[in-house]
Amino acid sequence: MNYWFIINDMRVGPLTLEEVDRMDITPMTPAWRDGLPDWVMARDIPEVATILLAKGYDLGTGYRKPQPSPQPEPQYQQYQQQGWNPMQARYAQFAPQAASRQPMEPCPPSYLLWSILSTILCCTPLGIVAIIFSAKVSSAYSSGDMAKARKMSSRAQLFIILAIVLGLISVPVSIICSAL
Amino acid sequence: MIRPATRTLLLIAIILAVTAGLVVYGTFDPATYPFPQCVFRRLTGYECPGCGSQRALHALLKGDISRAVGYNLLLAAALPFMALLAYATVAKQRHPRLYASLTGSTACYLTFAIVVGWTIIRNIFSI
Repeated sequence: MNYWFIINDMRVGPLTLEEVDRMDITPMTPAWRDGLPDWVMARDIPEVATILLAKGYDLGTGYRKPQPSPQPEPQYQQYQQQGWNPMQARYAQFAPQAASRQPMEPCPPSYLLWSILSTILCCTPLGIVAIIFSAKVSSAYSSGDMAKARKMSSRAQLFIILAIVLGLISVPVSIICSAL
Repeated sequence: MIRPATRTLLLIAIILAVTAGLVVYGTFDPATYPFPQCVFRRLTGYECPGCGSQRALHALLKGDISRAVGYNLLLAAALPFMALLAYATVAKQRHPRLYASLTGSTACYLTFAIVVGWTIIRNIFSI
C-alpha cells in the first residue's frame, strides 16, 4: 500500500507505512492512499491514525497530548462516528483526477504581487504582460492542465524579471539623457 | 534550487536595498531633485501606470497621503492590496482560501483591467 501527504504545499510520496512512521505528520496533514476517492486528513486513514496515536497525538484536537493516552483506540472510533471531513472542502483543489487516479499537486505560484510591483515601479509594458500570464496560471490549473499552469507560471516569472532588468537599465539611460 | 546560505544573503541584500531606497526617497523630494525620469514617458510623451510613483513615495514617507494620491492614485490604492497579498503569500498554510482567491484568475484579470483603465484615464484627464 502506498501513501501520499501534502507537507508544506509539496506532495510527498509514495511512502510505505514504515516510511510514514518516520515522517513529520500531524492528524490534520492532508493524506491520500491507493484506492481512496479523495484527499482526507491523516487521522482518517486507520493505520496512519494508529501511528499518530503512538506518537502521542490527540486525533480530535490535532495536537500532541501531554502524556500518551493509555487507551487510544476508542478515541479514534469516536471521531470516526462523527462522520465529517472538513479537508474535503478545504483541499478540494488537490483532489485526484478520476482518470489518472493520482493526487494532484498544488497550484504553481502566479506571482501577482511581483507582476503589480514590476508594472508600477519599472515603467515598462512588460509588467502588464506578466499580469496576463499570472491570470492564466490558476485558470489552467483549475481546468486540470498542470503542464500549462507550470508554463504560464514560469512565463510570468520571465516577464517580471525582464521588466525589472529593463527598469534597472532605464535608470542610468534616463540620467544620461537628462544630462545631455 | 537556491541554497539556504545564498537565500539568506539575498534576503539581507534585498532588505538593505529597500531600506536604502526608503531613506533616499524619504530625504529627497523627487519633485525638486533630478531623479531618473520614466523612460516610457520620455519616449512616448504619455504617462505610464507608474508615473508619479517616486513623488508619491516621498509624500507617503512624509505622511502626506492626499499628496501621494494626487501624484499616483494607483500606487496609493495598490499598497494596501499588495500588503494583503504579501501576507496571504507568507501565511498561505493558514489561509489557503484567501491565498487562492487573491492570486486566482479573477484577481489577476481585475488587476489588469484596473491598470489599463487607470493608464487610459490618467492620460485623458491628465491626472
